[in-house]
Amino acid sequence: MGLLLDIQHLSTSFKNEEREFVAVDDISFSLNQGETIAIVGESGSGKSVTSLSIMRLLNEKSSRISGNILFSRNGHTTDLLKLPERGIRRFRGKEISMIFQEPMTSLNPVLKCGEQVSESLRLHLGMSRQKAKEKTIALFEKVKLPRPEHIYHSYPHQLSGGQKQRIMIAMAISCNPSLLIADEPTTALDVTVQKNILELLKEIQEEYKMSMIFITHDLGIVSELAHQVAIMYKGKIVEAGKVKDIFSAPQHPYTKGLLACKPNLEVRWKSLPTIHDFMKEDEKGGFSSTGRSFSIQDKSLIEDTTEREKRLEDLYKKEPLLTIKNIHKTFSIRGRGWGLSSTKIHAVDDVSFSVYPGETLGLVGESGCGKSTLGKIILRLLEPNSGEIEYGGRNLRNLGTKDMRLMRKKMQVIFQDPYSSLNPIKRIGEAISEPMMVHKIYPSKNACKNATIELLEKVGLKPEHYHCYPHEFSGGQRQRIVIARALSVQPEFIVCDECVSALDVSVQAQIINLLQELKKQHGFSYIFISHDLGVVKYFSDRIAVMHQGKIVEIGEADQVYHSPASEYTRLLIDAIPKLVAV
Amino acid sequence: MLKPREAISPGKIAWKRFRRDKWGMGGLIFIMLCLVISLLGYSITPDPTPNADRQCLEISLAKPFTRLEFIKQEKTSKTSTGFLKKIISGAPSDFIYIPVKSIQLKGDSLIAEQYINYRKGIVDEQSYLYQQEKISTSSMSRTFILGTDRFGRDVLSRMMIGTRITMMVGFIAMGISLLLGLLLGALAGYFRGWVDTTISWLMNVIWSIPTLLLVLTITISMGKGLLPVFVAVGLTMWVDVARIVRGEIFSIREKDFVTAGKALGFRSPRIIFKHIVPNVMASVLVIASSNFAAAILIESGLSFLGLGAQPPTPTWGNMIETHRNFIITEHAHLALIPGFAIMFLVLAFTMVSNGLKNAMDKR
Amino acid sequence: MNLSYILKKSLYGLIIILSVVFTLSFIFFSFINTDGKAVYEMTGQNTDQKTVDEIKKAYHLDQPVWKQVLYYANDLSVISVYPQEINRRGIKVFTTSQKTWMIKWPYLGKSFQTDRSVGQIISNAMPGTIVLAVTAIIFATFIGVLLGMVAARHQNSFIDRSIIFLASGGMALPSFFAAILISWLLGYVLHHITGLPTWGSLYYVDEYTGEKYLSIRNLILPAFTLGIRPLSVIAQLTRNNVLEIQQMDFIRTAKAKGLPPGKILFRHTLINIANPLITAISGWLGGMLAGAVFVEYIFGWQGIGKILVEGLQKLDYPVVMGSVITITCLFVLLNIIVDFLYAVVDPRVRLKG
Repeated sequence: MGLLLDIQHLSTSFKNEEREFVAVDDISFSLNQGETIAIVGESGSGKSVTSLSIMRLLNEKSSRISGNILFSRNGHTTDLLKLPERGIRRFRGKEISMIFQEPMTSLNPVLKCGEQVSESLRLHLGMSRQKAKEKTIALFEKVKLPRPEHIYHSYPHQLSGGQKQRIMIAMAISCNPSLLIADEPTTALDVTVQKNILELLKEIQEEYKMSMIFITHDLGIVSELAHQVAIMYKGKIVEAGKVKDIFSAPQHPYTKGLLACKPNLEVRWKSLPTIHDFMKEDEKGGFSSTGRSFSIQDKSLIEDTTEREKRLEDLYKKEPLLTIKNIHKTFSIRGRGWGLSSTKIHAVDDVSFSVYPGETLGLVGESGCGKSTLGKIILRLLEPNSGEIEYGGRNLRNLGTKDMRLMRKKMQVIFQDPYSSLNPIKRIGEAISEPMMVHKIYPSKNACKNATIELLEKVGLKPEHYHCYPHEFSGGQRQRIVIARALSVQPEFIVCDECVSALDVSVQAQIINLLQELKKQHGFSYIFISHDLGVVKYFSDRIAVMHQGKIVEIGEADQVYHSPASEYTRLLIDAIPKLVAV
Repeated sequence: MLKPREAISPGKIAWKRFRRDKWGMGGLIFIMLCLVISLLGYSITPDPTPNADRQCLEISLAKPFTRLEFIKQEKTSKTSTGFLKKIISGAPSDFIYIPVKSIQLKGDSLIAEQYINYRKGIVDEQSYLYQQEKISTSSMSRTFILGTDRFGRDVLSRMMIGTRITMMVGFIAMGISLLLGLLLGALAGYFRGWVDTTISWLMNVIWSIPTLLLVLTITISMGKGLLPVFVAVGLTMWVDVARIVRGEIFSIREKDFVTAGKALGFRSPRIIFKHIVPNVMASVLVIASSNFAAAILIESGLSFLGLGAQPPTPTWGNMIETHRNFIITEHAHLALIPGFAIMFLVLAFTMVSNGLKNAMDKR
Repeated sequence: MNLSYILKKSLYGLIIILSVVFTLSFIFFSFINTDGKAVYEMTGQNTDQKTVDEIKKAYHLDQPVWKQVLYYANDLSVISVYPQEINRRGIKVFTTSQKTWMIKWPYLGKSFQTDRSVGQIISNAMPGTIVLAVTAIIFATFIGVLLGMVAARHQNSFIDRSIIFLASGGMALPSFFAAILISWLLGYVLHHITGLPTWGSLYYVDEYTGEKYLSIRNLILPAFTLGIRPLSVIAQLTRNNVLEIQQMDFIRTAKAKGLPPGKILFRHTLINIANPLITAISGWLGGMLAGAVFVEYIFGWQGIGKILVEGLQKLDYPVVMGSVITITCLFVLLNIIVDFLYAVVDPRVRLKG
């Protein structure tokens, strides 16, 4: 097992008209044949740029790469960075292949899928059209695509995300590369589909004796898939080594933080650890450890199970705050023809449950199961076809517009995408105080302004931020602003629709802690919608599992997780990549 | 506490980026120049008579930068015009200007070598009793920077007044199209359903008729003059605006901050006017300037065909038509200058439109 | 692509045509001076009242607007009903004592000036315009796409900036001015190099033999002039779209496969710009038909545009109406065909998966 790839002092920077930005800062690592190394980091860490630098897929005019990328094969060693453009093309697709994150857009929409794979074969291996077609169909079988012949002639828009990713894998392995670079290939896929794709990659890697660079932010995947791991932060590799070693005894504070802030599936922290608990940064970019450690032995950090039981018991004695009964919602997709034949999709199929005051109900399911639709229906942002919604004893569906508007003060929502949740041309102070003024919560404009500043501080921002515009904030900060805006009308009940799913793991922990704090202070009730079972289990009192519009299981969080009653829940739990050793 | 000015709005960012675009800024400056000329009107034209229509057939077709001497003869009937009226529609001259090659004073007579035809150099000697016939005793000179046209009128003055017509048509037509387009596009985009279907049908019908043809139909039905031009151009161009507004609104209304507005209990008018429309204004600005350019092109085409503003009102279009046949003579500039003027102004608006589009591009 | 798609599109197109015809004729008839001014312009000032009244009646100018529209629509439609006295050529289907129902070709009236059938005038002039427009658009597409690709390939270089500049200039050029300029420059000033005429039509009639000859030379300058604006638009559009597509993920995939840039350009990029390109071309067809008006007028090219302008100047309303409606219907038809072209070119439209 010889050395395949040796990266020495790689640096990549981007120039635009104003400044130069260093994305990758002097990193070095090496990879042997047949090995997998995982590059882990959050957004902005430089992990994707590293892979694009290796393949030299960056815009030559606006990027600058320095260092050595030594690739050894059959006794020859080449420095990939010194090759001319024509030279590196001989490696791309043949010796080194890459698969990307977004399967929906990675294939050419106007060419047949099969032809896009055959293209590689004909280019690098000189196969004839017929032979290439045969080989492609064989490849499709290998990546476990159903009806390979049919898929050959299909177009990308006719296939699902998982199928498209399999085609990408087929394309990547078609010429037997020695190195496969996978840039977050499963991040955009459902967790059950992800499981299958990861298994497939593992099989293929073993069969072809291929090396793999696997880029991800999910430490669970690293644990299941890789031998080596490199942790990246702000362009540097802060720690690297064997997966076993790093995960059992992390040295660098960032690594420690990263490992800790993903909700532990075994014990429930009182408050999620975040990166800041482990690491302090100074202005020059240097890191220092805070010296804290989170040990599961430390009882003061963990929620006591008996306390939890008592709390929940008291909670369920009360009258429910929200009750929904037999909610149905169907969408019709216009079929071909004159619109007479159309397929009906049962987005929400006879759903009933209650939410108690002060409870957090987790709603978990994969994409398309109807959980977001249900959330919108509860808030009457969408009308159901049938069913009842009762809030605080009042039937919501009977309310007139005026009454409903008043009711809205009590029920609020936080959405997933922090970038489209705020009006880009409104200052955030105004965005938060606007609802206050519309509902006349405070007597004067000044009073609203003061209340807004209080809210800003409550969610962890500064008073100066009152006058700033959304684009000046990061994703996590924007979610805080959105939370502040939801709080401005003093609600009792908040629907969190995948509100942490678009955030980095460390930021996610911060926001969840914030939501917990607010709940303790104000006694909110939450419906927490997510596809991430681990996060839902941590945060919720009860979990409802949703699949194809139906609630397949509902029960106390730990119970559902440890003793799932339904087959589907078991499938979901199985599919979560587990972090081994902590 | 940060002062409000410290935060940088998306609008300011876009403006900064626009400022860096040389072509866009150049276009903007040229447009400003034309605007100033239109507003100042007759106060800066060498020939301040209404429509710069001081015809002097003797000096027709003089080349650019021709310098000529004149003696003035007072007219018997004078008119006085107010200051404001002077700027807006010009003041008829109180004098008749006679082009002379040379003058001589002899007693109470003024002997002038008058031009009968300047181009061919034909002169005639005339003697005036300057006191009686109210003729000035000294000559004044004038330089015709762009020469004179076939009727002896100062081309520069006519070009300046023509600027005004062009800017006016562009402005009003653009205004009408923006108003209609914004309103209808917003209604269609926000309410959808049958409102959208009806408005889209209307848009399709009007869009199906080639613009020029629709404009021709309207103007020929409504007769000659400027009003039909405004109506016609405005009525046809709103479709482009509406289309873009509708599309933008479709995409913006899906954004979470709009749903959040509903969840926060905002009423529809507030959401439409305070949240959605301001976000559409960026695209509207872009299409406003490209519509202005299109309006100018259509207007010039119409006046070329003899519709729109009628002679003697100078428009760049009819100036080209009047001198169309001179293109093969040495006086080609008479047809070319207005043509290039149209081209530059349209180019200016196009550059501004492109510059705005690039400046507001989120990438 | 199935039958219902075709039918749906055609039906919608038909509705549009009908709406257009009614709208145009409504606008037209509502504004024409019905107090006889139109008639005077037709016959001259010194006509006695009796003749004026007769003409008014014959052309329905004394009727309310909506009736005039209906009369016109009746004339245009394939199935019509007429009172007995009128003779129109067609197949009589059904006769009552006063009215006749018949099937006939659309009737566009008679020219006020020459009294020839408008339909005939137009069908004589159509081939000229069609040849001109088609030539111009083929020229504009080929050269435009080529220039656009070259500009995109050398983004931000001198070549790119020059092409953008020329394209902007081309769009800013009013078509009548372009016609004047080009006929002057290339047909007059540089005549000794180009040998092209400044005036002429598709056919020229030999003085001696009276035979018609096809003259391609006459076509070159007008087609070139007409093609300038679409060329500029297509060049800019191609450039912008190529650049946009180069940023897309699937191009990154193609690069990662090791494809050479030429192949990426032709096989992967160009096909994807077909959709927006067709949209632009179809949008410009309308502009072209209008631009043809000026070009034909200035180059003396026998076509609908020339007929239209002459009709305008002589206030020959039936000719103007007929031309406008014909051109518009052509345009709508073209758009329907373009809709089908989308399905051919883009599998996402073809197979609504």
